[in-house]
Amino acid sequence: MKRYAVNPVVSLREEFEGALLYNPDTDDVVLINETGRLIWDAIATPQTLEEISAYLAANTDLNGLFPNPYGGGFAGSAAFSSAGLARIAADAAAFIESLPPDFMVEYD
Amino acid sequence: MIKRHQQSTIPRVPVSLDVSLTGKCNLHCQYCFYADAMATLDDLPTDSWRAFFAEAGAVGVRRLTLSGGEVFTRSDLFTLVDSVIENGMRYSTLTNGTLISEVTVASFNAGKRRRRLDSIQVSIDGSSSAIHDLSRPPASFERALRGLRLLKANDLPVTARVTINRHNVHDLPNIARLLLDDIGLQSFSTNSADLFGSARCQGQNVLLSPEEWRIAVRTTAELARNYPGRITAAAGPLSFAEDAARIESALASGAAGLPGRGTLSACGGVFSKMAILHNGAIVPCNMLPTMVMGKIGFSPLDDVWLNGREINILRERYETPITSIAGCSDCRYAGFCTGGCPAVVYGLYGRLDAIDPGNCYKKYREESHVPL
Repeated sequence: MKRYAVNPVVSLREEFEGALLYNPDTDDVVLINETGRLIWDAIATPQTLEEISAYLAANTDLNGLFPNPYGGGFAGSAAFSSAGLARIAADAAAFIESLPPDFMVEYD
Repeated sequence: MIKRHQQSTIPRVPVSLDVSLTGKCNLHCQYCFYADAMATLDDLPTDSWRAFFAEAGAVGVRRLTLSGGEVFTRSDLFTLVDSVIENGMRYSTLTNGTLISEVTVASFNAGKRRRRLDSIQVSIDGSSSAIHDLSRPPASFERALRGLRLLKANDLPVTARVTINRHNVHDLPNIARLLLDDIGLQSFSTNSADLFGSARCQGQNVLLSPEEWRIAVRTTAELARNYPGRITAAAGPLSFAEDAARIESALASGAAGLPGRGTLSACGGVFSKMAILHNGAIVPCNMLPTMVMGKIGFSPLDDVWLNGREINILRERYETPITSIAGCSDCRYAGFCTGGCPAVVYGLYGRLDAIDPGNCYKKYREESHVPL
């Protein structure tokens, strides 16, 4: 199963709204929102899409897909509906698909 | 302190920094802005710069422009370049070109240095030594040209900067031919000598007269038409010519102004970058070396960026209407004006609530009473 990890040369910079990823080798910049920031945190080490989704589920308020401000999993996370989890997986896949290829390393 | 409404227009840290690594130079040119009192300050040692580059990379600065003085007088230059790269940034250099050798070229090709190098800008001020060397020491031209050709031959991202002055204003077509046709540079940039640094003493030799400024405006505009996209300017006669064309086009369409203008918005540099002098002083722009906001190693870079008093005063100029400036209240071109360079204003008048007369469209149309 394919695993994804950040390219270590890519830096993340917090901005007033969201964050900015920068690859100094290619000079490319990507603006990400808070959910993107969570995914970026998740792939600090190689992760499958399922593992990324699980990380997001543990750190996200599914009602609005906003990050849980308290960090970590929250009380209701075990009760997420399958529809909610599917939405998280789709969001994670879309985010990874949208990143320029040099921003991540993929492992088969 | 940064205003809340500015948070959407200002990044949390500067995108780039102009870093003067040294005040030393092997040349002593007539109009160098980084001369005068600047040369008496001490250079910081290698470790201080390395620590600073670690800080800049950690907070998210993306690129550094390394200059001086003459940056190639630093024997540890490539150690510092490696530190820039290790800390996740890109870089470019500004140079007089005279110290570039085969060893320099080999050094740029080592490791990731070339991959993260945006440009090497060499100053060329004439199409011949007879002109270039009028504002620079003897034999500067041959050495600079050799360096330029060497960089080009080795496919390094070399460009040139022509500082238009009294000596070369009639040589501009020849300079364009030399740089673009003969040497084959993709492009070069222009500005003009201004009343900074050594030009404060040598101004009578190098600064453009009003008539020479008009010649420079006309000539650079014509050259830019003849070499589309290959001659650029962020300031100086060509920049003014491009502005004037925009103003005239807008006036013809009945517009009363242009977006983002009508205030002392200037070049906008203080919204994306600031500068570090060779003694570690943090300033809004290296053309404003007396506006010291902190010192590297002592003042956190991100804090100075957001809360530095001087840089925020310059940002606030963006909200100052041109019509509130003495002599400009009834100017029909106020809605098109940016007020020009605040460093020029500060150099001329010792204050910031004025416009740069060299950038005054009304004056160019011979309607202004703003003194030169």
